[in-house]
Amino acid sequence: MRYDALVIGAGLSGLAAGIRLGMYGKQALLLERHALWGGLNSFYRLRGRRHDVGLHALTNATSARTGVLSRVLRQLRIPREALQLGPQLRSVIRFSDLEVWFSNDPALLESELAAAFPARRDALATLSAEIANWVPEARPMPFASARAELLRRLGDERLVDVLLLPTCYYGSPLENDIDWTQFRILYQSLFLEGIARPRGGIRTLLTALKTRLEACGTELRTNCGVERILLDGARAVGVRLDDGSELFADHVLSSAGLDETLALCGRKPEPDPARRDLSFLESIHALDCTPAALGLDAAVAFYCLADRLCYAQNEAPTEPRCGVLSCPGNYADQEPEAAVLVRQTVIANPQRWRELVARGDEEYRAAKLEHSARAAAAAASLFPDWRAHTLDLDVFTPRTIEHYTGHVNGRVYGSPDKRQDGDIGFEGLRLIGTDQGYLGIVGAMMSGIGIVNRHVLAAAAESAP
Amino acid sequence: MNDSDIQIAIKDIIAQIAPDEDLSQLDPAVRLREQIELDSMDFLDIVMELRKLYGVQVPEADYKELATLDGCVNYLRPKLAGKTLHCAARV
Repeated sequence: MRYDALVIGAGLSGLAAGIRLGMYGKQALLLERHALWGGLNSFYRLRGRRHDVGLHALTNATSARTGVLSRVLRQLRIPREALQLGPQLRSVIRFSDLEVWFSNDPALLESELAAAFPARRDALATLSAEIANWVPEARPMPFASARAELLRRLGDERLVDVLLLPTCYYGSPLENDIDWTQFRILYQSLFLEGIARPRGGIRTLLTALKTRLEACGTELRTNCGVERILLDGARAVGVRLDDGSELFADHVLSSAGLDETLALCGRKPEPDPARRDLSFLESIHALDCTPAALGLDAAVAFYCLADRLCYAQNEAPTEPRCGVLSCPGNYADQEPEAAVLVRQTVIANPQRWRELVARGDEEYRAAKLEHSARAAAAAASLFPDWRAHTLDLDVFTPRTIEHYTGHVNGRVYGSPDKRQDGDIGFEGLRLIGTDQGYLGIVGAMMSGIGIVNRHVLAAAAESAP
Repeated sequence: MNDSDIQIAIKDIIAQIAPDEDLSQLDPAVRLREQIELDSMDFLDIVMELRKLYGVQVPEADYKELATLDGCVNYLRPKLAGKTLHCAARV
């Protein structure tokens, strides 16, 4: 049979795209190489514990109707209650000599920043108002450095580092900087619209999406990898699956990533040789108590032990001086099982991890534990030390991420080259997801919705019923 | 089918797209977007719902005709002639 649309990948962008297609009668099929859906934001069970991959918090949590999450849920016809959102209690940005707290009330961030940088109080208020009133351009915008834009407005390198630390960790594929458009989107998403966690974590969101997908009649095939995209000249006409069978469609939407999708089309990507891919080492500690009981009461703690931001690769497998702690228990109304977890994320160097993998299983496993321990020891100089309370630890590396997502080098935030219109030069083929330039879980869903609306449904609305 | 049926059918569609909006106080002569939170994505959905429910085609050039409830009724009256409307909002 011929499909209206084939969607490569059942992550959040693919699931959202599949729902929108099904809602308006399009024959759509989601193809997922793995046994589970969710992509970069999936879930697993280990030694009797349930873990999430990826989800630290859901951004844009405001219940205001203009909020991005509200708009996404409206487009998908998912009631907000289905997500059981618990807002963060509060979060922190910490350097060795300063801390800035923020919550879902933007006034807290404003007063904390003004207290830490009193000379920049007016410039900060102007910046905050500028970003609050800013609406993203509909057309693709060229890259601009957020560091340069912020420095021009705020005139203080240290303050710029404070603002870049959380935004880089939340979505930058670049070292120590982020695109200015993406910075403003993240500032709105994290600080103005606020963060929350679904009770039950990513499963709750994924269950709501999958239930809706099924109700819309869109089929999801798991354990079904795409081997290549079939082309007729410069037009994508379908896909060949790993098992050799071929499927044909008017539209192919790929969440595989820019370079990965070009490779599926048989094109050799030409990565910038100066580019260094960023990936993460993530450690999930299950404690014998809640982190809050130890004094670790931030929902998310973005930290840096060095004087200057070091969101960058280092020659070693990880950069332990800078990272994120995430405590699901420090959101309102969370399930007891999650309340004892601390997740720690630090930057990892994909090349070093490839070398470690090549040295064999034993060395790779030992390296995971060693680098996880280093990261935890580093954090203990700034935060309450939880290490003696760890009952269970799971660590994943760039290798793990690459294996489960197919993203080259375990790039969580994709290629630095973003294609806002999803166009990579083939008719009938559009990118959705990370490399379309949207950020985070909410951004990924919006990307799937936006591309389907503009490139599939708008055309359908024009044609005769 | 009269004009009030058409208006109810439109409100039904809007209620489905934006379930959190209060539609009981809508002024039919005033632009919808001035009264309730509807973005361009929601607007596309109104058009898609009309197409799905009633087989009505609205070319993009005509979107402006749907700016108010009165405008919707005037524009859709000939297109909906003889069709059975879904009017859940009345019950």
